Amino acid sequence: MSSAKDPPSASPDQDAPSPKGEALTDADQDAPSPKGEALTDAERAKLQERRLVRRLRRGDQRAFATIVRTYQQRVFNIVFRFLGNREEAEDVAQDVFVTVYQNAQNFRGDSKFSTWLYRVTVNHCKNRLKYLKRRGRHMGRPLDEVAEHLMAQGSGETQPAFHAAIPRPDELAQGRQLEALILREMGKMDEDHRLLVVLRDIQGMSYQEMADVTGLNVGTIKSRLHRARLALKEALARHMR
Amino acid sequence: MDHQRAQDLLSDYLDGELSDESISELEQHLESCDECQSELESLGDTLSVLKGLKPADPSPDFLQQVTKKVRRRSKSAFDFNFGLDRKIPFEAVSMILLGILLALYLILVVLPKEQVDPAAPTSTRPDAGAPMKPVPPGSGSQTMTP
Ligand SMILES: [Zn+2]
Repeated sequence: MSSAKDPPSASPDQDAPSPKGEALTDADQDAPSPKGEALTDAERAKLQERRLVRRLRRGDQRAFATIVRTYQQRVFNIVFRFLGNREEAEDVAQDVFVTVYQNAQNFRGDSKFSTWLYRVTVNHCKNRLKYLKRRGRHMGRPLDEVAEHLMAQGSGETQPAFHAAIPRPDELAQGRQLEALILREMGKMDEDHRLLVVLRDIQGMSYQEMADVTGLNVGTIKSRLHRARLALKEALARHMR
Repeated sequence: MDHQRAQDLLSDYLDGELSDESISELEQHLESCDECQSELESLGDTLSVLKGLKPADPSPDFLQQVTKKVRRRSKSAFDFNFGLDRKIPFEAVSMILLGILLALYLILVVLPKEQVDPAAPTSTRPDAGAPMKPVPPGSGSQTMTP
């Protein structure tokens, strides 16, 4: 990358990601970019992230707040889909950011910041699950609670969840049932498989980033994920019959 | 391409992870194999349900909760609140208090004794000399034997 200097047209201390796309293009002649072209959105986001992380390492609270706001939903969603329990997920997601704040010094910038953040997230998820299991909470149970709840919402008050005798025209309700079914099935899944489903199929992560986050190689990830998807597909098929 | 191989590649096919060559081989098999065809469809349905899950939102006060935890957990609040409402770490406060107490002890208790002791008989300060005075022998025995 060129330099971390802010071109004059961009405000240097911008906290929120800018929705404007033209901010950096004016200064292009002054700020030498490797290809002499305008920075893409992705490149600009990367620069901004680097500035934020540098400020975070100095203990800058505003940078920390921006990072929390930027990533809170993604981190929470991963934790929630993995643990299946909102209360636990809230607590774990908070812990993730506390760890990020306290260990910002250890982030050297060899990987993307988000990769590091998700690695911290995955570690916290696994540790919490271990802790919950030690305390006698079965692996599938928290997810089952979510599924049960969704099922109740989707199928009406008195209808049993998958009583298909009277088909409901309400597509939303059907979507909810599918969702509930899948979440329940995920709760039964081995945690390593579930994690891959969450990262790839729910969170939309690339295989390379998944490899960086989990430490598994891409081949292993693909074959495990395929097996996990087949299990989910089977569960769907059983109930569609 | 044989049936088993085709089954194994369905995920990669949906992910767009296959080479052009593998894609055309697989598609050739799909045309002649109903089982793989329907397997592909239901696998695709499963993936779209997963992708369609609404992202779950953390509570609105998430950031405040995180900030609170950071404050609670960092041993010294010093670095976190630097520049805003700057707090002095507990360790520093206790060291200073300890120093003050030690100084007070030296000034009020130890030093007066040492200075006063040799001059005890001529001391004009009643409270400094008082504890050193022997108890009058008569006062105690009288109460013991009425
Ligand atoms: Zn086949």
